[in-house]
Amino acid sequence: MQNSLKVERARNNISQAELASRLNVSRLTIHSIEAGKFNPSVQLALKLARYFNVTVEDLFMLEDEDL
Amino acid sequence: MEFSSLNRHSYRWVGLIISLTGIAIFSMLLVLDFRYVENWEEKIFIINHYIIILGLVLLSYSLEKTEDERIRTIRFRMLRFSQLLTISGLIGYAAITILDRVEFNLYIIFYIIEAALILYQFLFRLFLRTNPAWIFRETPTRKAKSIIPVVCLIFLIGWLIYAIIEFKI
Repeated sequence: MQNSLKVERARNNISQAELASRLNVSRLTIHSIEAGKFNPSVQLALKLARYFNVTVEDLFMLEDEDL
Repeated sequence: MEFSSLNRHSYRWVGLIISLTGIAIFSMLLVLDFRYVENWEEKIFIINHYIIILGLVLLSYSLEKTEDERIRTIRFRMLRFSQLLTISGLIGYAAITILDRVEFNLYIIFYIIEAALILYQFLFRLFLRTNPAWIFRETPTRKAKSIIPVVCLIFLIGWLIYAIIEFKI
């Protein structure tokens, strides 16, 4: 699964640590999601989408191999 | 998100202090070649092992300062590994004891449990920092899936060979 979290974070000019603190997760969790290592739960994906004021589909995209 | 089945973060420090105290007392007893009133020496060692295990369990089942689903995934995977290690160790030790290869020793049981808990702590802390991608993979690879059945099969074949040789079936 791909994601545009890093792009959205840059657009909103917010650091990993700050975003982590706002969503009550660790900084490494944000880093893992951005690096594509860790797929967040629906709850965290919705929280991220709500924070950046975008839809979950804008933030997370399925790849061909996921289909 | 609820993590009610785990202790509060502060219990981690309590667990750390208890287990380190237990390990310090254990080391001291060994270094000083401790001798006490007859029959008491063993009881002190056993109680001390209980203290170490209690501390390690408190440490293992306590929340992190910032608990989230990534940490929970790593904890689950490492606890599963630790559990598998403990069960394998205990079954393996029971098997060699039943076969009269070694004499039963209660301390070995304590050492197996303590080693599994300490290894769990080490790996959990390590993977929290190194964050390896394979730990979050939902479906294990075909190779990983076949490890446990292969190990069980090897154990079964070994046992059958032993039974045939030993009991001349």
